[in-house]
Amino acid sequence: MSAGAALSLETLSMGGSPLHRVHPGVKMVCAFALIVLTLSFGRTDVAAMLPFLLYPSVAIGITDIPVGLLARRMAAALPFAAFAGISNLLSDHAVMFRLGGLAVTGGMAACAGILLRTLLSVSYALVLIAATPFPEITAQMRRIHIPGIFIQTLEMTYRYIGTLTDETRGLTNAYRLRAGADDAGVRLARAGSLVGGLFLRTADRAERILAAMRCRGFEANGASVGTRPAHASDWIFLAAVCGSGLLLRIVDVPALIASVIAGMG
Amino acid sequence: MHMADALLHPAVGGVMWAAGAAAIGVSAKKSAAGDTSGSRLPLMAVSGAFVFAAQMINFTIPGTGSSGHIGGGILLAALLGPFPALLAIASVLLIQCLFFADGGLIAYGANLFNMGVIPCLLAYPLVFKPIMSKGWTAWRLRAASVAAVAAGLLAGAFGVVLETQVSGITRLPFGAFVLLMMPIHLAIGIVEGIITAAVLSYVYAARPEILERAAAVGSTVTPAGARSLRPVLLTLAAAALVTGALLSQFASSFPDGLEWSIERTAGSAELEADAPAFRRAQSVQDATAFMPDYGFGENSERSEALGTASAGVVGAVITAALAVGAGAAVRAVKRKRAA
Amino acid sequence: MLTARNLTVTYPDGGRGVEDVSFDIESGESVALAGGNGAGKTTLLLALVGILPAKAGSVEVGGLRFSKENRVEYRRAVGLVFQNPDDMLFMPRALDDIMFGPRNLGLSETEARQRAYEVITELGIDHLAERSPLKLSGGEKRMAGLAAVLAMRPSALLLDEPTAFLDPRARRVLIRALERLPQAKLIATHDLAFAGALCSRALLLKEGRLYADGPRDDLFRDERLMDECGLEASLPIPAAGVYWR
Repeated sequence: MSAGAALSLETLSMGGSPLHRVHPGVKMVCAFALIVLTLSFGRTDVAAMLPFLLYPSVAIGITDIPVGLLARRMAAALPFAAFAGISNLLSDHAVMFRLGGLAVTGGMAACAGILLRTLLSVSYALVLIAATPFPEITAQMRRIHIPGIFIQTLEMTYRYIGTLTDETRGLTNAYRLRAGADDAGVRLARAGSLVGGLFLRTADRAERILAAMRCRGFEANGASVGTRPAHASDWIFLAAVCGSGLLLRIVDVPALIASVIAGMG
Repeated sequence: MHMADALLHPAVGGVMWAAGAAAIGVSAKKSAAGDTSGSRLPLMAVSGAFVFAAQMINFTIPGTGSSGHIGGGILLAALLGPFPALLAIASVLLIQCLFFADGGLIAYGANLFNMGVIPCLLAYPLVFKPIMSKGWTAWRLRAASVAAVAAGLLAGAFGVVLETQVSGITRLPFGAFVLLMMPIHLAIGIVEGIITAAVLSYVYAARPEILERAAAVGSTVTPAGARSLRPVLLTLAAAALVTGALLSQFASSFPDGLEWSIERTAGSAELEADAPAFRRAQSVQDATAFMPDYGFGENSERSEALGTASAGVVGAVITAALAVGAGAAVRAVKRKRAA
Repeated sequence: MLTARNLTVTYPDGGRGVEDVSFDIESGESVALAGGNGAGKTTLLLALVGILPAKAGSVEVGGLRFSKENRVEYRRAVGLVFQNPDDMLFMPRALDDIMFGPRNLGLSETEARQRAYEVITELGIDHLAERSPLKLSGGEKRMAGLAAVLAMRPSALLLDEPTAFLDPRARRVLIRALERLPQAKLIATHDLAFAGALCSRALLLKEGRLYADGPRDDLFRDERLMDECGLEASLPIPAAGVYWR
């Protein structure tokens, strides 16, 4: 994924949907709670996890997050998930039930479970970051007394990733244009001067930034944006999401529906 | 090496989060110490961005036709000092997690430990520094870099294996898993170590004071003075005990990992339902599952008749349709209102 | 308002800084600082804000003489707009950068925000406030950087190569913005036409020393003088305000 992808998330996060207006701290707690609830399912409890699709589905509906974005983030998380899934497929052959001629093994269920888990956890994180501007997240982190120097580092790193990636791209382009046929990548022998040079320029830049900060009165713990207080609607949101999540974790909805169907037939 | 959430049990994630948080706390204190003017901050932050960007550069390895790139832990530790380096890496990992889905939210603590704490707070002081303490020469630098990077990567990869195994979601046999991860990461470590050495020698030739200053930041972790790392390790141990005790009461999947490990070590093919934790978890699940016989959980009856199984599948499909449909409905309503 | 007295600055590695520079700039006056590369323009500006320590001599703004103890107060009074805006916009959003200075001066969150929006409105850059510096054009970054400095309500303003990274239109916007500012201004620049549009007086630096100080028309048209300083004498410069509308 490119630095451009991070920026489009930034645009998204400045939207005005109802979800954007929820307190950032509440959103963070909900995201964590949902992930924990999702991950707490048994290895092969696939169907019972399905109701949790409700949250990202509704969130995407409300906020206009493009589904393609979710697909791309899934792709990033897929390698590990696929690895785990395949390992289960290959090692767990205990048959759980049969459907027609197909024997569904524990391995298949676990594989499906892992993929579903991945989809869900990726989507919760995506919704969080797409509906909450990064400065609000860091402001919230300050409020819970995470060390200031870490948060300042985080904010500034975020700020300069785009600048540094642009500079690096320029560097590698310049290299390739003069590398002749040997332009698949940078030769190992040049690593030192290329990356080392990049670092030295970075160090110089850091000194200039420090000077600029001092010119504006920076001495130690710098300024920050504050958080807004939580309203009643925020608490209701928190209760609704966490409460329903807990409920869905305990009540096996597909089984419920299945019993109704079986009862009817 | 960024782990996704799906691989971890929340308990394992929680324990690693505690360790990671402790590491950040310690590093923040050490980095701020003796620097009341905040002069290290821009360098830390921009170096984090630098590592992020530099990881994009692909280096072709002569003779193999494959490519490698820098990781950053040891490199940053040598350039900034171990504690500022950890903060920089922690920032990069969090940004990668949030914005690039590289690593999950629950897995952040584990990733920070594997890719930050291990190289910066362990491999650097225990491998790199002792080798370099005898003086900066080209060959010593190469040896120190390769050794430290490889050691850090191997330990980190081992961490991934351990965390995954204890979580019980993946079912690769431990031995096979280790055999798979270690050689790959050893090879990667050697390449990355060579690149690291090249960069460090370049910087040392141009501006040696950067590296000298880095070595002086905070009190480093030496075998004699491992005091600064103690909070991290103690927190790790405490968190493991607490979460283990608490969650074995409630989580139905915790026995999963346990019983699987038991099976592995005991060699029994069938899962014996005699372990007390397993029995307790069974009763909890029975109590909380609405229709235990129709659930797809590990402990349900396996001898389903065809009709019951299809009902289960249909139930699942309907649930999924409802969940996704709800979102589509919301979007449709929104469009209509906007129109 | 802005005074340098026998100012001498050297670099620790022995590199040349500036030597025995003295001048005085009145409130409302705009002065161009010209000189070839390496003449010491940036060094002089960094010394005027107290970032580079003076080996000899002193700098003063509004009668307040710089010292380590009063550096925060001093730096409130004189602001520096850096050559590369990426060096001075280091917060996630432009608004945060503009609030950075006021917050460090002790203003509360609300007051700082208010001050920031005052400046944003004065400069007409409301559309930039919530955006990340990464997404701004060269001209927009320059204006955001200017806003970040003006938010501290300085009495004197220093600008280092302000037209670097700017296209012609952005240049015009910047000139118009600077014209309206009441502060004493010292503008280091290669862009003699830009200097001419704003400044009636010029200081010429050569090899760290103040070579000339006088009306900009006299200086910029003196071929021999300009050549000695590593600059080119310019064609007749239109009077300020005529060409740039």
